[in-house]
Formats: sequence, structure tokens, C-alpha cells
Amino acid sequence: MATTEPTFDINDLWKNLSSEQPRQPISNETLMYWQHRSNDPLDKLRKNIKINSAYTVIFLLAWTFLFFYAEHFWLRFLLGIMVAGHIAGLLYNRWLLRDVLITPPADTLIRERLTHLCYRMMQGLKSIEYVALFFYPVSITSGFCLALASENKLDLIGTDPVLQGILVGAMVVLTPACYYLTRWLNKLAFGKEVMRLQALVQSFENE
Amino acid sequence: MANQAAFLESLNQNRAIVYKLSRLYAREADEQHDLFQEMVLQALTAWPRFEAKAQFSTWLYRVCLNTALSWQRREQKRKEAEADSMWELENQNDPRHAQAEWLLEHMRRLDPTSRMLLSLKLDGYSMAEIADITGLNVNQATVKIHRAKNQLTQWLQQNPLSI
Repeated sequence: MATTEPTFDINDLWKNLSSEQPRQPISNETLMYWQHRSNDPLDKLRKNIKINSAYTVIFLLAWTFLFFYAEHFWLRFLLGIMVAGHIAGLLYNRWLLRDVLITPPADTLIRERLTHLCYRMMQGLKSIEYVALFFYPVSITSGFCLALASENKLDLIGTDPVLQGILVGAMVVLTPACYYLTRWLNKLAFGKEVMRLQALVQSFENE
Repeated sequence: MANQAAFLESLNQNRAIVYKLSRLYAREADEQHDLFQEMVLQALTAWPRFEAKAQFSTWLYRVCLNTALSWQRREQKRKEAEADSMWELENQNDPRHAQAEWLLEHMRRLDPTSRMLLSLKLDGYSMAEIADITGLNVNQATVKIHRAKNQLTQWLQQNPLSI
């Protein structure tokens, strides 16, 4: 093993690299074989939202079934709120998938594409966190009242201070807990990727 | 289908670009293979937007760099053993292959943006073209390339090539 003098030329070395390529050309069959394997940073987020939508549909069907099955007015009213909430959730997911989490074509200007990916990813994650902040208090109240209504004791919510205290306590504790849990899960699942994209965008901004 | 054939023809003429950039942005062989696939698929997806008046190699370069910068390593192991046969290299036994690997090893130490700019410069693109591909302005790109080149030269002098 002899060590050459460091009189290399980066351009020459790069030319060597440029002369290398796979022996066989890419065939149509190979291309077909590779298809549907593509992924990009927003893919994982889109997939999560699709899974969430599937669960929402299952729960929506269950609430709708109960809505028609229930006889008590207040029980129906609260189930109606749950149904409406789930429909709103589905529409919201559809908006995220169709209008927010869009990956620009790969031949877009590199800086523009990275900025877009980073911004849209952060926007998607933030909006999921805000939904947690608004959706869970409604869910908690409805779920709480639903249990009472199913026992025909819904009127207690207006008269029993202990029940009122428990409801308020549940909302005060669970709402921020759900919000921070959502943030933490987002950070766990997407934190590294967001930071990587932010660093890349930043490197385009610097000097 | 004819469109896809035209794409494949252009791609195969320029597959060295895809190969080179996949090696520049991924270290391990299976990651390089994944990135190579991803670049080809992204190019195929973007192909309908390609305008004939543009140069295919420049367009492909941009697609590959965009893909490399936003690429995420897959968790699962690759299964397509049959696709491996195409991965054999021309000139693999050439001593220049070791030199190329040695250069790549050092270039991978640069941050992704500097790597991108330096590869464009080494491939002979003008500063105006680099600005056009990346979205950086000419001054920014010039400064970054200058720094990257200095840094790379310094590293290369510290670790001279052994063959």
C-alpha cells in the first residue's frame, strides 16, 4: 500500500466517478417492478391521516347506528353531536390530504420544494395538534353526558355539584393532556424529519 | 407507453448521474439502491412535465437532488433480489473505482447543501445554471461552493489517497 502524493485534482476524481454507471440499462420491467414503492417526507403523515380516517369511519358507523337505535331525546342529541364531530373530522382529514399535504413535483426548484415540504409538514402537524385542543373537550363532554343519558340521569349534570366538578376536572386535566400527548407523539414520529428539513431550509437561507 | 420508452431511453443515457448522486447521498449499498430507485421513480412521475426544449440531464439532475434532499431511509429490508443484477458496475475493477469511492467518502462529510452545490460545479454547470436549478442566488452559491471546495481539499490533503 503506497501513499500517493496529495497532488490530486478534485475535478479528475469527479470525472472518474462520473464514468461509473450500472452495467445494465434500466428496463421497462424493472421500472414496473419498482413502482408503488415511492415515498417522500409527507407520505408517512398522509398514511397516518388515512388510518385515522378509517378509524373515524368505523366509529361514525357505530355512532350512527346508536343514533337510530336510541330512544331518549338527549341521548340522541348527544349522539348527534358525536356523529357531526366525526363527519367534521373526516372532512378535515380530506382537506389535509387534498390541499395541505401535497408534495410538489420533483423537478421543482430545489429551494422552493424544500421550503414547501417543511412548511406543509409543520402546518399539517400543527393543525392536528389544534384539532386535539378543540376536539377532545367536546368528546369528553359528550362521552360524559352520554353515559349519564344512557342511564336516564342526564338531569343530574345540572343539579349535582359533584358530577359538575368531575366533568370540569376531567376537561381541565384531559384537554391539555391530550394536546401535549398529540404534540409528543408528533415529535416522536416526525420530529427528526422536521428538524432535518428545517436545517436544510436554513442552509439555503444562510449567506 | 411510447412516452415511457422515450423516458427510459433518455434515462439510460444519463443513468450515470442517478448512480453518482445516489452514492453521494447514501452510504450503504442497500440505501444507495433504494435512493437510486426513488430518483428514477420521481423522474418518471415528473416526466410529463419535462419540456423538450430543456436539457434532459439538467432536468434529471434537479429531480435527483430534490429526491436526495428529501429522501427518507426505509426501515424494511429490500426484497427485490432480481433487481440486484442491474446494480453491477461497468469498470468495477478499474483502479479509478477506488479513487471515486475515496472522493465520495470525503464529499459525504460535507453538509447536504454544500454537497449538492459542489457536485453541480464539478459537473461543469455555470453559476447561473446552478442558481437556476437550486433557487439560491449566484453570490450565495459562489460563497458556499468556494467554502466547500476548500474544506474538501483540506480533508483530502489530510487523508491522501492510498492505493
